[in-house]
Amino acid sequence: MAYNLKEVVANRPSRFTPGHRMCAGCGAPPIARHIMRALKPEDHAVVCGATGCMEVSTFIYPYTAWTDSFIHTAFECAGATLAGAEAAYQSMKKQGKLPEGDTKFIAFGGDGGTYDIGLQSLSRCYGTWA
Amino acid sequence: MSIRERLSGNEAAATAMKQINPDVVAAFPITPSTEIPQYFSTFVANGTVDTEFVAVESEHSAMSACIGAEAAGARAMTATSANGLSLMWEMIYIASSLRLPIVLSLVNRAVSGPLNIHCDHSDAMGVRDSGWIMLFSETNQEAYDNTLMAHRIAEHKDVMLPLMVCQDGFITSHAIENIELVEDDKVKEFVGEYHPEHYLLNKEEPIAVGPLDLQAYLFEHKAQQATAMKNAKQVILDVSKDFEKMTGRSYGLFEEYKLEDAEVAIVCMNSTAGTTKFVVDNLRAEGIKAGLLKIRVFRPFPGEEIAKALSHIKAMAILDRADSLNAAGGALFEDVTSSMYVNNVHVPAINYVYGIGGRDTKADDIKSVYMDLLDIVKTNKIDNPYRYLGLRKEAQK
Repeated sequence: MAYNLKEVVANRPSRFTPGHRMCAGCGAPPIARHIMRALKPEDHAVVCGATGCMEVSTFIYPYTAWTDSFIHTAFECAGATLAGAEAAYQSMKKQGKLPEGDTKFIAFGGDGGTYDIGLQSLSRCYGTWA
Repeated sequence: MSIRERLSGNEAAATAMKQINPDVVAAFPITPSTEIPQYFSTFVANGTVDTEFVAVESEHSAMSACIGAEAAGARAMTATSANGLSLMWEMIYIASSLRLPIVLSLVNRAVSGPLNIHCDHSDAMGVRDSGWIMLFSETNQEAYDNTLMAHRIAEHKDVMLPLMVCQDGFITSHAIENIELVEDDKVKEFVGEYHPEHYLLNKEEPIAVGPLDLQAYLFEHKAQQATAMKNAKQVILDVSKDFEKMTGRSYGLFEEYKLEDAEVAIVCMNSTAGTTKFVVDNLRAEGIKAGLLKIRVFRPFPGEEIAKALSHIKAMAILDRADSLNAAGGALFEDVTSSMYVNNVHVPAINYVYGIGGRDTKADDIKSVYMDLLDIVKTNKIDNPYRYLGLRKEAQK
C-alpha cells in the first residue's frame, strides 16, 4: 500500500515538537517527525541521537523537542548506547520489572559520524539485533 | 555463617557480580581483567543470573552500552584494564556527568606504551579527575567486599555517581587467596533493589538525557557533580558501617596500620600495602616505629582526614605506582602533600615512583624507604623529594 502522507499527518499526532532550533527549511525535522509518526500510537520509544546538528538543535538544556525518552552520549556511539538501553529493556522485561506494553528503540545517526567514526559502534548494533 | 573459599581476585570480583545479579553487563576482554566477564558470561549462560550480557566490540562501546542501560533504568556493570579504560575515557566522563551509578571493576595495569600487560596504576590515575568514586583494594577479600558495597554507595540519592573498584593486575587478580564470602541471600538484602527516580524506560514520564549544555547551565551541573563527590565520603562511611555489621569486617576511608605511635610512615594503595605491613612488623620487632596509611578511598580524596592521621609523623614517603611525568611528583604524592598544606600540617615528605609495568616491589625495597625516612628524621634534610624505587641503577642518571 502506498504511503499516504496527508493521511499520516492528519491522523497521527506529532511526537516531535515545534520550537527546536533547526534552521528554517531544513529537511531533517520533518524526517524525524515522520519517523516518530511511524510508531504505533500506544508504543513508547527510546530515541538515541548521535552528536550532530539534529541532536544539538533539538535538546538544548533545559528544553527538548522529543516527547518520547531521548538519550545522547557522544558522536560515534549511538549504536552502542541504544544497544545498552535495549539490553536493559530485555533484561528488565524478562524479570518482570517493567509494566505491560512495548518500547521501541530508534537511533538517529547524526550528520555522517555514524558511518565514519561511528562505524565500529554501528557494528555492535547489528551484532545485537541481527 | 560466611562461606570460606579460595579465589583469585578476578574470581572474587566475578562472584560479587554474580551475587549482585545486575540487569546488564557489557564488557570487552582485556588482560588482566578478561576473566571477570569470562566467568560472568558463564553465569549468564548457565542461567545463574538474570543479566543480559552485551558482548560489545570495544571498551568504548562497553561503557556506551552501560550508559544506555543505566539511563534506561537498569543496574549496569563492566570490567576493564589499562588500554581498555583509555578507550573508554570519553564515555567515562559522560557516565559521571549523566549521574549514572555504573559499577566498574578495574584491574590495574600499565597503560601503553610501550606495551606492557602488568600492574601499575597509570590506568586509574588517567581517570582520577573524571568524577568517578575510586576504591582501592589490597587483597582479593577487599576487592570482593568493595564490590558488594559499590551499589549502595553509588546509587545513594545524595551521590548518584559511577564507581570503580580497583585491584592490582596479576598480583591480586590472578593470585588465589583464602576469602570469606557472604551468603547469596544476605548479599541480596544488603545490596537491595535499584529503583531510579527517573529513567528512559518509564513510559509514564519520558525523559531526555545528555543535552547540549551551554554557558547558561554547564557550570552549575559540574558544581552539582562536585557536591555529589563531597557527599560520597559520608555515604561510604555509613555503608561501610552497615557492611561491618553484616560481616565483622571494618572499612574506613583509609587503613591506619601501626600508625598511631609511628615516627616514620608510608602512604600507598592496593597490594603494596600488604608488603608494607610485613616490613612494618619486622621493623617494629627491631624497635623502629614504622607505620602505614593505606588509601582505600582515593576519590573522593579524604584530604582532611589524612592530614590529621599523619600530623604526628616525623617523615613520610608517598608511594605512587604511576609517574605523572610532570617533573614534580606522582598524583598521590601531590594529593597528600597539598591536603596537608591546606590543613596546616607540615611533615617532611618524599615521593617514590615504584612498580611501573609490574616491576616487583620486594620487602627490601620497602625497607629501604623506611631507612631513607629515618635518615631524613636524623639529618632533617631532603635533597630530592621525587625519587624512584627499584629502578635499574644505570637509568637513574
